[in-house]
Amino acid sequence: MPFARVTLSGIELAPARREELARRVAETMRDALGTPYRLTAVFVEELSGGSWTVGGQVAQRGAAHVEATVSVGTKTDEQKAAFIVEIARLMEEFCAPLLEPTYVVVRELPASAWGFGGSTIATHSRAPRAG
Amino acid sequence: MSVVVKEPPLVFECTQGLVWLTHDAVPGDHILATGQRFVASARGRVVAYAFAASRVHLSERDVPREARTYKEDGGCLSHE
Repeated sequence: MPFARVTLSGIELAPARREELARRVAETMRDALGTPYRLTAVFVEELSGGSWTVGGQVAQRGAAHVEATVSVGTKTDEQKAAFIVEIARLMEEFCAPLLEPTYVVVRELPASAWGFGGSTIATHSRAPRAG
Repeated sequence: MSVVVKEPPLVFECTQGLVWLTHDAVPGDHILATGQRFVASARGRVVAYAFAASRVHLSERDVPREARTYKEDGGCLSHE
């Protein structure tokens, strides 16, 4: 894609710290998944308290969820595993102590399910382009 | 993945998918759809990113196409 969404609950980061977290997530995507840094979008959102439950119980401490979206068939299992390891370390660094489990997800979308400029990647792949 | 061009020209041809390329000797981005080519005519590093499962064929001057076929596989170029 490449895009990552970091969802935090019960964790308040100062704007500069939130910006640093977004930058580090993009760097991790570059290093682990091989995504180009300049094309990588990261969104960090902070939820209000009470909206995060685990096992039916409202979280009593900070919780996080990280989801990265990439194109299906472009990443190896080793790359995805490395990303999950590094993101876990990163979240520990920025957000500890975190409620467990903290899930890290790599979503893989087919070329027909995302796009830019008003066309899917599948369409762009077939279309003649200038250059 | 990235390729260092030591002896230009080096031709990148997208034979499947959609690939984004940059060349540190050339400003701007280059997006190759299937069937399109980018010629790196200067030394430097070319970085490529596959928007979808893609194949990129590299060819050098005086090197037959059949001898230099690569496959984009998990972000790395590998011999097919």
